[in-house]
Amino acid sequence: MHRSRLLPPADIIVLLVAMSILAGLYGTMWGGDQGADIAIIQVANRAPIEVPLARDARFTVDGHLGPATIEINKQRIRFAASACQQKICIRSGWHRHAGDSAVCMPNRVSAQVASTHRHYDAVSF
Amino acid sequence: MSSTTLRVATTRDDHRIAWLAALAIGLHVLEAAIPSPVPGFKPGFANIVTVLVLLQFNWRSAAWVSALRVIVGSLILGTFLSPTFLLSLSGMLGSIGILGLAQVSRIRFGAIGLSVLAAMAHMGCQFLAAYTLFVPHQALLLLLPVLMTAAVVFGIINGIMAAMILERSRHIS
Amino acid sequence: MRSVQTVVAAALFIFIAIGLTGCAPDIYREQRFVFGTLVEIQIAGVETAAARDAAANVFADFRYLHTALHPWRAGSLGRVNALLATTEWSSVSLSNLPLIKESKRLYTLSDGLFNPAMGKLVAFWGFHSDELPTQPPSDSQIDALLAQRPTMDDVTLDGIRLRSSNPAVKLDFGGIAKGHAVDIGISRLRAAGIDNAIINAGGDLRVIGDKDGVPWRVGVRDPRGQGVLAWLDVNGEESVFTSGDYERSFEYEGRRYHHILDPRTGRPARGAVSVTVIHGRATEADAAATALIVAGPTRWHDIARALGIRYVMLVDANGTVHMNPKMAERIRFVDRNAREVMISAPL
Repeated sequence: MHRSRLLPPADIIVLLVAMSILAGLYGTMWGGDQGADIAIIQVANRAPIEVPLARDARFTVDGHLGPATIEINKQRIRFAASACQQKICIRSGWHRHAGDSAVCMPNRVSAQVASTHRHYDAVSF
Repeated sequence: MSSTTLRVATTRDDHRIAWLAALAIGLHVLEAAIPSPVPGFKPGFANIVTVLVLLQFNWRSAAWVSALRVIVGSLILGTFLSPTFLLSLSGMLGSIGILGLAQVSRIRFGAIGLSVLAAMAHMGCQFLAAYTLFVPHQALLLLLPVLMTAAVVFGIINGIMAAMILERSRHIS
Repeated sequence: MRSVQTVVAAALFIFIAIGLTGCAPDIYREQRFVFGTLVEIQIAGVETAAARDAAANVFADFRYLHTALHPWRAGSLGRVNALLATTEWSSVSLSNLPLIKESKRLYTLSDGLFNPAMGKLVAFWGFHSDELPTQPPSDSQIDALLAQRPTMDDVTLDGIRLRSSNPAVKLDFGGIAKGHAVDIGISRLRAAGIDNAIINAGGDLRVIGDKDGVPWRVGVRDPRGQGVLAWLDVNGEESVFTSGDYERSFEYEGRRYHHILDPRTGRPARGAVSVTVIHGRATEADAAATALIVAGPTRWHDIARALGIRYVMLVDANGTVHMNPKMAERIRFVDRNAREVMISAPL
């Protein structure tokens, strides 16, 4: 049997591609930290925004009372500023785990850490 | 009006393909008898036949054999138009689709490469169908890496067997 | 050969088309800031337009109830409280009647640990507004009210007539209102023909049905902020309610004060940091979660039994998890190690 007939170069490439696809699948599907990879931002009663936690970001949304600034850094999220009086949302600090959330009730803005794989349909707290 | 008998001229190739199709159906039915630990986890030995037909004849014949195997196989097993059938169907469409692309690309794939490509496309499409039509539960995604690994492994095994059969048939004919 | 191939191809396309039309609709999800919290409604197995309408009705109910159940704002409860303070007989509106009846029953069963008649205490602490209080009320204020001992037993119901024998009684349904609203919301969804849904009112939720055969999966938040502590699959019709000392609290001079008050001391309950209860009706589940966090690690078992609750998980101030055997069977911890678990006698 000629080598090339059993495993031509194209086949070797197929196998390499298959291996990397497998690695990618294990990486994404079986990712650690319960796969907390997105945050769901709810501003007043508008449609929620999903933001990935993978990229550092800083953005401002218009809450019920005024602007609120949300910051994403190193797969964590927090309120950097909000138009509320007591700043409880800011003081709750950074959140990284799926199921955690920071909420500014007066300003009607919430940031919930979640996983795209939605391990849980709802969290009781 | 005199009755006329219609006779379709069959070539030796037609016979071979029909024989291979029957073989594929047979393998498919036999495989159904093997219990699988995970639904969707079947070695897919009938795919050996698909790859052989592709390499020895052409894509159209391979598509034909594949479709026959899925439809007739499900008729025999009594799963015609059932969810299982829809899954097999989507898998088959994926694998035959990618084999078609492989042919069109004119890249010289061997039996193993084609078999792995077909197996991955088969599993991918089957999984997609299962996920969207039947179980949109996120936990299913956790199975995907395992299922795909099995697909690749059996793709390689099936490919080797197809290659070996091809070698032997080259020596014979 | 060619025509047969075409037939097969056509047949395949038809089958695919049939298969795709059999697609189950997605789960409809909507969140709104209402009822003083973030309420999320999920509806499965129903067309989007119908789900959206049903959800809108439930949100409208929540908005209405927020005012109706507010202890002093100009809603029906506010009026009831004003009349109760006179210690004269008055008529109670039908919307408040069930909650008052239920609260009397639950007050007795919980041995007084669930006592919505202490609305004045809640008002002293100031946890009702959106903005949290900044300092605790004075000891003398608290002690004076405790001396007056307002309880649900002081409230007498006769048909739709109501009277309190104690002018210190002020009804505050904070410990049961979410449950009540969730129950109403679920009946509203049921009436709209929806059998598979979740209503989650700021972490207190009730579930009906499932997602195409797959049970709804509920996580329980770690009371000390490390994501999800444990999870469970809900069976059809269940409520999962959690009371925690982390939900509404403030710090003053180095001490933290949370919103679940112990009727015996007039101050925030100590001993337990969170309690999770699984129960059928949300109203009872809410009151039970409130009573059990007050009961703490020493008395939760007796009170749960008296209230007819079959699944309890309590985390105490040391981080130890207390559960009854049935709860231990159902709950799955996310992180197996480093957690002391105490399984009690059966409930």
